[in-house]
Amino acid sequence: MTDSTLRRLLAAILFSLLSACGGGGDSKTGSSQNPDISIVPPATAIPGDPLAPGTAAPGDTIAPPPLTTPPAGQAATTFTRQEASRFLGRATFGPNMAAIDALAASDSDAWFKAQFSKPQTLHRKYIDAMLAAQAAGGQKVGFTGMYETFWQQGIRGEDQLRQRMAFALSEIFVISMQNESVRPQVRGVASYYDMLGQRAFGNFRDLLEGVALHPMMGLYLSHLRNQKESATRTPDENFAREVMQLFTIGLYQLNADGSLKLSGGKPIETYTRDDVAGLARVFTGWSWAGPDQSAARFYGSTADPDRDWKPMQNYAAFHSSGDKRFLGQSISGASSGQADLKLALDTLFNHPNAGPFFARQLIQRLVSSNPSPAYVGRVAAAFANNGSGVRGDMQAVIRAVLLDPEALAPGGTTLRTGKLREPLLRLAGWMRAFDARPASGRYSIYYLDDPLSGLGQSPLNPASVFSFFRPAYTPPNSALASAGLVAPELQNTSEPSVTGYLNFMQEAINSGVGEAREIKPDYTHELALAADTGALLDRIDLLLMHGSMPARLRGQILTAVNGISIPAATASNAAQVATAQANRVKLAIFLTMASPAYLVQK
Amino acid sequence: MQNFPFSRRRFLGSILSLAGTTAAPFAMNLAAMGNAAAQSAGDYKAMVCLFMAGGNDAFNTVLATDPTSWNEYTRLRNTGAADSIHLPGVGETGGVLPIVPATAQTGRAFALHPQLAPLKDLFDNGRAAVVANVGTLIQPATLAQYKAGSVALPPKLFSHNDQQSTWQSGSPEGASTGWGGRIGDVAGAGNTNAMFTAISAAGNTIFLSGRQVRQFQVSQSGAVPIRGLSGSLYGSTGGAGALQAIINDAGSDLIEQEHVAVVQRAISSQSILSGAMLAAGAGGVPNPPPYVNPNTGASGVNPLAVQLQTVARIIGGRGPLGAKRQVFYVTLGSFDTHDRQKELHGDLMARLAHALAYFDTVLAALQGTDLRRQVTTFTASDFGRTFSSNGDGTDHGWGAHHFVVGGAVKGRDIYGAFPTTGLGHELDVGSGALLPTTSVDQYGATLAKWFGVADSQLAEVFPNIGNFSRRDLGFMTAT
Repeated sequence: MTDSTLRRLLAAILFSLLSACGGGGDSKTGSSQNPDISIVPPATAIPGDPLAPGTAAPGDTIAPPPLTTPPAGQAATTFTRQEASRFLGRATFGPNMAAIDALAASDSDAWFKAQFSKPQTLHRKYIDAMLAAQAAGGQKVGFTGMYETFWQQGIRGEDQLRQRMAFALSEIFVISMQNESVRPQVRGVASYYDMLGQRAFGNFRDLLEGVALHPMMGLYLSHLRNQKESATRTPDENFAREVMQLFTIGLYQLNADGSLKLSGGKPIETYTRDDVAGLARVFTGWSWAGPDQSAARFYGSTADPDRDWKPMQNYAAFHSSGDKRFLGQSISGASSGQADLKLALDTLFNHPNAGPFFARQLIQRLVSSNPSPAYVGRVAAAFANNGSGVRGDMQAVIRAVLLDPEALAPGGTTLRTGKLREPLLRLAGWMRAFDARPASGRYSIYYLDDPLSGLGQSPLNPASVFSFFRPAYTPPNSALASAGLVAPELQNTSEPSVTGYLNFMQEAINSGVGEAREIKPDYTHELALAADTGALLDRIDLLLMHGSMPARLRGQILTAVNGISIPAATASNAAQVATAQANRVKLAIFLTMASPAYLVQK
Repeated sequence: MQNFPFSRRRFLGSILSLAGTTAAPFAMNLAAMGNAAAQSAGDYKAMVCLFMAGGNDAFNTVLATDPTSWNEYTRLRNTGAADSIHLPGVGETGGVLPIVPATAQTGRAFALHPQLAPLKDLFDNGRAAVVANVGTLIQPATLAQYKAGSVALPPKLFSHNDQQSTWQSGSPEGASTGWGGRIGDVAGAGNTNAMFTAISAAGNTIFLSGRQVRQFQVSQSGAVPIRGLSGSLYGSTGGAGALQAIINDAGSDLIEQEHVAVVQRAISSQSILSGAMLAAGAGGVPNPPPYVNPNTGASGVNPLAVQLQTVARIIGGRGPLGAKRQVFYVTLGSFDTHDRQKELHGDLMARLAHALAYFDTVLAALQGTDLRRQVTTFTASDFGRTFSSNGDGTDHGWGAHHFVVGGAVKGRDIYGAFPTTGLGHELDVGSGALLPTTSVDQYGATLAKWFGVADSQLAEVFPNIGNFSRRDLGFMTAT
């Protein structure tokens, strides 16, 4: 069977498993079909987006956690179209016009309620379908499968808030396919990402437990198969250290607004090496799920077929029975692994640092790099108490991040607003805005890691547990550093990366992305405005920059776009006319996406 | 490509304009600059920082093999299981490789990891040395002082990102300059274009940032241009002009301004760098041969060797670049061997040795010139690791042994007292992690002196160097 035939066969299998209700997307009116322009036939308004992930078989989707009640007395926020675009640029993988119009006609309460209520499609099921195809003699499944389902759901999924949150959480609770143990476990990685998406709308305590017990995290931070101490062995400290430093409390004690607590003018460490060693003993005895606790199962030679995605279980025989002292807690002697874990996670969850530490990072992932202490404090307060006496309510925290007055205040007014868009989100925003779709149905975007030939970033594939960039990164010896400001996404910014991004998007905007550039944009609406360049730019500005394009930039782009003349239509020059129209559209989009004003999201 | 005659005023002018109005230049020592200016026209030197990211297990890299040490080693590291991290002894199959340092250390014998055979060759030939138990320190410390907290210690010990930063800059994450960049500030006076003083063939690193010198990154693909900046863009010449204007135009937003600065460096450096860099492969710097993964036997690309090839390609372009002193940065990752250390560390050691040997070969005949005396490579890492094992791996440590490689190294020797092997000794801060006996500052100062940093300038590069009695560890020849 030829490669392309195989691809179509696989696509057909995937279609049959995954096509479902979905709808959404732009309603298209009138398309200009022209062989010289790379557009795909417009989606119809009929429900049944074949490329949308959705229910196909029982178990492909799961229900979300229950809605929690926002505090009474807070009026819902309404949005102009610009404000809606700005909000969606933070809360989703990027707006399209239908989403902007829908939100502008609604309000934040309705939007959040709808988003929190959407069922979740499991990435794991996508991989299962690929594995079934492989078993039937098809293509071997590798880490590229994770990228396919990531992009398919990210671009087509209606549960956009969940998509954006899962991605943000994957940059905090990091696992990476660059790890040799993790990379072959494609279904495991997919299920880890499912877990983040699921628990994004639940309680932080459950999210923490989901992270701690997922076998992929067990592999990544090596507490899977971590054994109790012996004469020649002390328990592995990797997860114990990073769960504190990166996932919950950080290195130094914080006030409720995220600022450092000081003692005698010096910051106060949250934990010592002894705490790490004590916590390492807690995280012993955990290994693969299964129906029993045999040593063979612990070590991995006896394998439950679903062990790659089911939570780890504790094997009493390998759990430390020594004293465990950490963070002021003390466990004497023999104890159950589950009880020890509960105490440890409860301790971390209830630590005063947990709220501000997480709040600040989530604000950085969604809104801005330098939230004021007051903003951090308000989100941390929502973490501490959602208004109904519950600590760790993720829905409350998400609302607090996205609806904070500092987030909604007009942009560009202080140094504090803004963040450099990370390259993956620039690509995602373009794909969402212009309805980029693959004819085959597979989002085959595989090789983005190299900064020069790609974007320097691949989802779930950072170089280390410290993610693609550090929350506290500031360019050395810069005006930002002098002003006490950080810009994490600048850590990935270099001479090769700025070059690579411009070259990558130039080509993508022109002819699509993915293998054989099969994921192609649909510029129907933009092409219809090619003769009215002011209106064209208005539309692009609203989609990509929420209407905030500075006047000078607008002038520069308009001059350039108007400089492409569209010949008057004759009987025989349809191709030239179409090319000119397309070039205007592509130039307008590219110049927008190349501009510093776009690159820094405000 | 013009070579400008050296002009102190032009140099000052050019670097100050690069620095913009926000940088406050430190008081330049004009006498020192005069020394730098006195360097002869053919005089060129490069330092290459080879950063092993994650914390290398130095205890399995350089080993003591005398009976006392070896007994302790096997007693503590051999679990008897298949994934035990201990290495086979001298003479055993796959055993450690003996090295004999020129300066004996009473009662001790030494060896290298079994996968370091090419590095052993460099050692035996006098072009590689071991510097023992190097780590981050503010001032010397004894075990008692460490436990009592009675002397200043680097903050955030055992934390990856902070110790990486401290190794590279002297301060935890958030530092504004690194000592490689600071060396570039003082020793790079003879460079025509300061942009090419501090170059990373890996990612962003604080190591290369100086007060004036900025780090510059080069991909293995070389200095690729931004397409569409000239000529036409989507069929429009006006479009190309607009792109040029737009990507250089930042508003008042500081993040925009920083991004534009990177873009400007990319554009302004591209044509000169692409013209100066030697080709990869025939006619330039030979491509590295594949290395063999010792676990699988499979041949593959060694990314570290490719980075060093990129470095060599730039060194080969030093004439057109007008470069006299360059600081480079390359990196190899995945050293954080909490688990699967036996196989993972073995593969890393194979890559390390393969890359260093390749680099040595390339430098021996770079465009017909033997540059090995003019280029020194040194290893660095977040920290060493614990001596005790967690079964199949190790945890975060502190002091570690490192390598310096090059024709100007006084090789075939171990510098610094090699610590006792095992636990509970006078340098054990817990689980066998080592209290360093040589500071990063001293290690760096020795390299800096060879590089051309005057003694009077050392404190600008290493602010704590005055806390240590010895600033030249003696592992470099004078020139």
